[in-house]
Amino acid sequence: MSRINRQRVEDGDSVDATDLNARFQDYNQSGGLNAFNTRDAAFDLPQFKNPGASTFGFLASYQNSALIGANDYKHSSIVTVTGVSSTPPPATPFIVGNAAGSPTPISFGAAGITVSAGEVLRVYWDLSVYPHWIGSRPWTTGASVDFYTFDNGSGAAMALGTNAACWAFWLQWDITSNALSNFVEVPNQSDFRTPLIGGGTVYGAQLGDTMSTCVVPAFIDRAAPDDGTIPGSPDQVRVGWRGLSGAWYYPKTSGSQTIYGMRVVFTGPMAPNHNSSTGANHLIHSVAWSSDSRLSYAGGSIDVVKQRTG
Amino acid sequence: MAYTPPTTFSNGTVLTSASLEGNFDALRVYLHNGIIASDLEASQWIQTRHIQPPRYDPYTGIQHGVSGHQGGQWSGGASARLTFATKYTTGNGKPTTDTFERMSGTSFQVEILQPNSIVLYHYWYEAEVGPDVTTGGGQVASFLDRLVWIGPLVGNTSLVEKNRLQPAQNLQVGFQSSYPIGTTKTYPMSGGYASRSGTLTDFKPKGIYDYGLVYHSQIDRVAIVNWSVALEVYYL
Repeated sequence: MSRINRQRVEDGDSVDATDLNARFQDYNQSGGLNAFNTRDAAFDLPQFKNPGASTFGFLASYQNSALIGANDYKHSSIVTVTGVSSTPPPATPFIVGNAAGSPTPISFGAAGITVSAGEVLRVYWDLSVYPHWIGSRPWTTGASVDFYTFDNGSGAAMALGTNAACWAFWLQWDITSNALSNFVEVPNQSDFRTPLIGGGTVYGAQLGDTMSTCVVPAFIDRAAPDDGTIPGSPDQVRVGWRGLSGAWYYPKTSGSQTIYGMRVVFTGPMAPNHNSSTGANHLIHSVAWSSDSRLSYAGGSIDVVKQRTG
Repeated sequence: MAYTPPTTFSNGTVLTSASLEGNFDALRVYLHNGIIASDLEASQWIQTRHIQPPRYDPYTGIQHGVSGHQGGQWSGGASARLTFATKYTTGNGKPTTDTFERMSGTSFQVEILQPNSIVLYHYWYEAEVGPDVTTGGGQVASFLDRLVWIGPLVGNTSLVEKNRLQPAQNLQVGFQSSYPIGTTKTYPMSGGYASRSGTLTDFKPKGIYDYGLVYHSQIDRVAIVNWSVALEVYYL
């Protein structure tokens, strides 16, 4: 085996099949590549990947992104929803869409994208959101699970919000067709409409079923505590406009999955809950004051990358 | 598999550009990703010098190898060194302005050497936002409604993707002038503490690109306490 050493083509040469074929066959050197014909730093790790194996091909083979929501960063065009009602089961989730109410999913085209064994789909999204409410500290009313009761120092009760209530956002995908009319929750993600406790009156999801979920606070309630008492009335503080971001990874270890589109949905307000009998942690619908809660959102984006894991 | 030209030429037939390109394309694939064990001489001869190592750039914090870039920068923790955003460089708090500035100290530059590279750019920051209770000057009248937007910078400030900016609200209390001087409530209690993050993906042709953070502020003082930016660039 020797280095490829063939005279270059000169002006006036005639095209000859034997010569042309030889110039390509020079690169077919089975068992011949060695130190003699390999310069320093000639090889990188991808060159040793075996064609046909799951680790062959581009490290990152697909990328796509889309704007979601109402595309206006100064918030003159927004979407506002009211918290889900107390009627069981809770309403289906809100779909992030534009100011006209049309959903803003990301589409992967007519053929979709296929995640094969040895690949991972990485999904990231963000959205400008504004949790707010009507009235004064509605989370302290009646059967709300979103407040503690303290002594005000004079023996009377003083309610203070837990600051744990939140709105939950997660991912859905359509794996049936590019019509994008059959969205369902991604794997390991609940729609928060599962009856959990209370004989069908308390709905939500176990935390193990919230793998694509991200949350944003529903309110801020502050007080000046003094030796375990709350002597003055707490203040409600605006949560304000803020950014929300989430991430979800879908590793495929066997088989394959074709995906045609994804979208971001949300519901709320939600409250953390611990089931002492099962030991499970939940996010449950906080319905006692949900009719007073609001969530506004403006714009954001969703980004998708597919790459191999090996 | 070893390289086999898709087309074997014969004398007397038409030589097309497509058949030539087909052979060249197959050769490119082989050279970049198709060499297998049986193509190599059976005896061990590859040494470290034959394998291209990645190169680390201590200025950008980016490692560059044959398959792309990876790395990033951060500031914060025990050695927090604040950087600031302010309305005085982005329109003086007037609601109709659209001026953007780079967040000082957060930018770096990388050279992408292959076409059609896939880029993932991650960013994260924590900030104390406000307070700003100044009046007049045509700025947003209610200090409660004043916002700062911080987001990813790719290229320069004329290329800001506004929909990717993440807003945060002005601190909803003021300063007290008597001892102890400072905000009248803590930032977390008053909604003035912001933690935001995001990821941007993109296709990029060959070129030199700036990555960092950019802001538009309607608030006097926004102190960025902790931040980090990270980059993944895939050539292959």
